[in-house]
Amino acid sequence: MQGSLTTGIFSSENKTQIPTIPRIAPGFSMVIPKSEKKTVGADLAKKPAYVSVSVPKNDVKAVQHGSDARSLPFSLRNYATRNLSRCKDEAQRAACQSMIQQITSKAISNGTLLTKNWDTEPLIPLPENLLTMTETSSANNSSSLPNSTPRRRLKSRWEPVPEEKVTEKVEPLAKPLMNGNTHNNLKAQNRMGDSWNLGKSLQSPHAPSNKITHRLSKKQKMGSYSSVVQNGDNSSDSDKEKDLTKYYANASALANSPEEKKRREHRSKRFEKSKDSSSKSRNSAVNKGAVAHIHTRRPISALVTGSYKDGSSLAVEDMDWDALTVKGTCQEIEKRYLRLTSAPDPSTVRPEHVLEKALSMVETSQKNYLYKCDQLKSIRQDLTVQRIQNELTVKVYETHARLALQAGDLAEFNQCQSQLKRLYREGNNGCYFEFSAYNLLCVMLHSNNKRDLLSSMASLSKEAKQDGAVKHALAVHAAVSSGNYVIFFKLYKQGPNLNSCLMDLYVERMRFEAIKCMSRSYRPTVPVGYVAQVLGFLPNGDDRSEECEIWLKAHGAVLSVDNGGELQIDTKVMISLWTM
Amino acid sequence: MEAMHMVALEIRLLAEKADRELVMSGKNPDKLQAAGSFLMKVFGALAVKGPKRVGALYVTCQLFKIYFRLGTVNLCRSVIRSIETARNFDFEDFPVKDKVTYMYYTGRLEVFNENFLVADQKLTYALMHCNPQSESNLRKILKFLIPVKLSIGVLPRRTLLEKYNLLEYADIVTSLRRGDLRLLKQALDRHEDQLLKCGVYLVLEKLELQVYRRLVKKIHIIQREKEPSKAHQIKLEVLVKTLQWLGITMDVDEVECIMACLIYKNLIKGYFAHKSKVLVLSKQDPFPKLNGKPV
Repeated sequence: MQGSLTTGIFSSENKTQIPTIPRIAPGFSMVIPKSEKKTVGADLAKKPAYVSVSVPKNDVKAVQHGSDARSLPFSLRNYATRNLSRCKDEAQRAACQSMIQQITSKAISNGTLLTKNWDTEPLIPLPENLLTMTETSSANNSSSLPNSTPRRRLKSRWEPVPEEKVTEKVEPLAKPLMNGNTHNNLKAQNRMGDSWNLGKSLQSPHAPSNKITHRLSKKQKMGSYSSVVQNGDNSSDSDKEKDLTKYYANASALANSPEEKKRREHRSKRFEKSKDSSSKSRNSAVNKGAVAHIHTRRPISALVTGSYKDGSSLAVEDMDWDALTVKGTCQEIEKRYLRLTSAPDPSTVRPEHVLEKALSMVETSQKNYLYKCDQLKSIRQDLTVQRIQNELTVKVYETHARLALQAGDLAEFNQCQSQLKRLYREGNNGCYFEFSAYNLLCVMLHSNNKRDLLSSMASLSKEAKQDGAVKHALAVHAAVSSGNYVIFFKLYKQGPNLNSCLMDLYVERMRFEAIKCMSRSYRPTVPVGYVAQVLGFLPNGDDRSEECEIWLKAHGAVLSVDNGGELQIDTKVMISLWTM
Repeated sequence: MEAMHMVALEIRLLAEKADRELVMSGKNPDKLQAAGSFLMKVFGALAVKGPKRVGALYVTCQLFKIYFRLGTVNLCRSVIRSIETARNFDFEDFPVKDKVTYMYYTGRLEVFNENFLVADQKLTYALMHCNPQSESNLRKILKFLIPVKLSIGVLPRRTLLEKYNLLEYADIVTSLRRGDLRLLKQALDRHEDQLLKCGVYLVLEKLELQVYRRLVKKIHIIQREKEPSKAHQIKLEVLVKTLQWLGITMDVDEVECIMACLIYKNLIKGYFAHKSKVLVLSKQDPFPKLNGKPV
């Protein structure tokens, strides 16, 4: 959303009057605004990083190779540049030059020099067979070509006509041709919203034989290239496609390696999936083992690239996440938690049935909270990595939440609670009411946010309100809001599940409020025993109130013994202490 | 300026519709949020000095509507700050209807934060300046003003409630008058969903203490008639019995606690003698008027 908005603004600043902005490739969207500002005029190709780098190169080339450049149309010069930039050595370049000259002279004699659309003219096939397009040779080719070449080539091909248009304004040559070109390109651009379609759209009006005319998405773009490639088309069109494929491969891969080539193969066979999926998966299975250890060291982008092996497509939302997820093989029940820094290694990830055993082990273990927390975190990690989101996940989070509550670890508890909310929303079953009650108590006791409380209360269903734990939480809320300490502590004593643990955190505050209240309203004294009983100092029938005395004294109460021998709080004195 | 108003309004309405569509097709409704941030930028452009200032309040109101709909009410704070602290422009310069809308929303925010006095001020202002013809607007204002007033101790007349179809408050008002706790609880239960959605449920919960106070007052009056000399002493058992009669079972401790709370919060003047379990009211003015101070 935002990106398109900003580019919209930029386009309005440009005078080139391109109404629609081609969609930005996700990887490049960050680069767009800055480089757009830098590059002259309408840089709407959406590969500005490359364009800005290669623009000077292009100019240089134009100067170098265009001996009689001045007299030739600009687009022809570009065409020549493009052809020459593909050449790798002097022999090729010479051959290319001669071919260009041939074509040029032909065009001049035909009178089509100015009318031919050089931007869409197929590149001259080089005499050597370096760039023939067969599926199998692609691997070799990719390794032989240096990285920069495809980029440069692509720049020249992808360099949008808008950029030429801007420079056109500078070059008054062949204006009518330019206008014609811009018109065509405008139409072409309007038709295709996708930036990566740009080049293709340029070709489409003039290359009806081109099979790629109706692509609408990047994914399909890739497919189109690969399909052309697969058809073993030896024309220069497929040459371009191959380059593009390599370009993309270079852009996203980290290094040129055998795995990369294999991945490219698979990637280009992507849309043959239906026919060859079985063989592909066999290949990928074999490859997976080989490159797994490499992958564990590569960052996530490599993992994404690795997905190509599985025959999945380029766009994020269409990626085959199921094939991408790790399937664990580890059989150990106990495993320490280690934060992942790279793609996980399947041999360290435990599959689901092992995780179940691990969970029951943790539940019955006698060790301390830190150990259990650690184990549970690693179980959670294994579940997340394998994208297991079912009742086992719910159970794990619930167990962890309960343990965290009992240990007083609120941070961990909140984490688990938010995950649980998400899991419940997605329909997994679990102790929904229990955790709704915890949620209510958390919101009312810990945050002052009335809106959250309102929304939590509003989201309770009728059944939820009948549940004991939830009713308890609502009663606690009523007690807190009216300051009714007696009820509060009664509820505190009988809290179901772990509600009392959550109330624990509010107990101190409530006690203080209660004492203030009592000292304001009781005269002349209040028996300590009563206070102890009411404020929950007496655990389960125990009659001693020493704890209460200590607490009272700590808060400045003045205790005295009355006639009957009972300890009393002198309330008049307390008032002056507390109420100003 | 009107053009800008139209644009702002349309953006909001379109975004709402777009979100509805998105929700129906199962996608994430974020258009309203985008509209909100966009209008924020517009507001920023308008808030600078100059003749354009006047339009700023309209955009503010649109922003409020969006934020209230989205629930991200905390975002309103920044807008309010810039309006309130701007010395350069006079609040009176804005068109009346914008002011009314602005006061209405800020009043609502104060209700959420439980600053009842300020909320009362703002909502009353809105009420007074609101166009008497637009009944629905008046109703909206009253919906929030009534709980605020109730907290302060001002009860609306039944005719007012009937006129604006705010009958959910009718029972609550009656219970306050009578000291009928049971009725209050029933009324809150019945209209719980509505009140929760409006966000006034919490405010009304706090009225419980006022109902207790009323009850005690009634007992006091009855006792005064029966035995003037001892009227200022109310036995706890009497209270317990009364509540039982109302259908609410509470044991002695709980009632004691409530009494203590009432005294603490100045709803009742007096003290509680624990040993004899008697509530002793002060001889003069045991039930001070709330006098505009919220509970």
